[in-house]
Amino acid sequence: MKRDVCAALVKERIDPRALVVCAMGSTGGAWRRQGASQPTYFVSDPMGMALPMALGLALAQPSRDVILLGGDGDFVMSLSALLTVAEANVKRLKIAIFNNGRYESGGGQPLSASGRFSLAAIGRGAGFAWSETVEEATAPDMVSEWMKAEGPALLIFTVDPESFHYPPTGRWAKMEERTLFMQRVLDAP
Amino acid sequence: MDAGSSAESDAKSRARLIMDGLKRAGIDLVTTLPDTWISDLIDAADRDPAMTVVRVTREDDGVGVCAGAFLGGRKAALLAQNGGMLLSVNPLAAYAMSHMIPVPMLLVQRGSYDDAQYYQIYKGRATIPVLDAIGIPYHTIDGPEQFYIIEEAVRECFLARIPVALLLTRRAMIGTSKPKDDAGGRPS
Repeated sequence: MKRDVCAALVKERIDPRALVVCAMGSTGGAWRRQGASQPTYFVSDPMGMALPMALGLALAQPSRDVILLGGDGDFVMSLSALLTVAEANVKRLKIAIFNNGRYESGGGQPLSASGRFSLAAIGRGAGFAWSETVEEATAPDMVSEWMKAEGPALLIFTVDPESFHYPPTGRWAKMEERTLFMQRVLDAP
Repeated sequence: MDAGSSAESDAKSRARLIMDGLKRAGIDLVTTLPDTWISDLIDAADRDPAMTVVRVTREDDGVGVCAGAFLGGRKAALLAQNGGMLLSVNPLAAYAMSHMIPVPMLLVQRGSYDDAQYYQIYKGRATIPVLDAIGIPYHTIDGPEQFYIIEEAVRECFLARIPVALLLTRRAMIGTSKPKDDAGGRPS
């Protein structure tokens, strides 16, 4: 599947009041192109922090869906946090990972054990009640099911290799982006 | 009450005082990874119905959870040993400092004169230089008479929008600066 197709499936089903935490690189580009209206916090270096940050946001905003959109390379740096998420049992944290076994933004190098691991199986092993890999034919229904799942849910999109070009430096510094995100979350809930 | 149980009771009392200071500063969520010196504090958090406890498997995950909580308007703190801060330098320097996200850290200061383990020594040597290098302010707390710093420093942390490290000595946590034994490889 193309990343943009996956991101569009999420955008078409996301709750209007949801909050989004989005990884950098190819995943961030795919989500930005959707032009979604939900407040989105785009994480930056270092990799591996998107999942625990999304958990913290979900603990602070339990009445809203928190959607994490991440890349596989970023996600495997935070596998330790899966146990923490499973124990915290936040009801409305939904995690979608774009998986093609490559560090897309870093030049396309393979992840360790690329092609042999199953992130969905790792999620189930960590205690996630809903942890599934989706293919193109079933993706629309599976994304809907993932959104409605009770408790933390992990969805793995199998995506195609795509070329990546770094976007130009944005208008706002990260500290300013953080402030703008918090204004939208806290001042206009 | 024998001396042992008295010391144990004293440590639990200190833990409650520290927890009260955190709560007065608005903290209602803590992320924790155990250390012997901080076990009573984690236990006090676990027993407090007003406190959400998030058990992490790495301290840098704890920094991430605290940062995410702040994004959503909740005040959280990390309870760990100083080695956990050393593990967390990357997210502290990148997220907490670059994005200006306050993360209060209560860190037992292992590896100083009051410790007796080879493997802790590097932590005592590295902690303050590393905090200085990434620009995080710190305060050493050496006993209950200095526990007032906890509430004030956490308030300052959220005002300044950057982390703070509170370095808790053995004397502050356990009541004595004397190592329990010399089993850590000191020559006799």
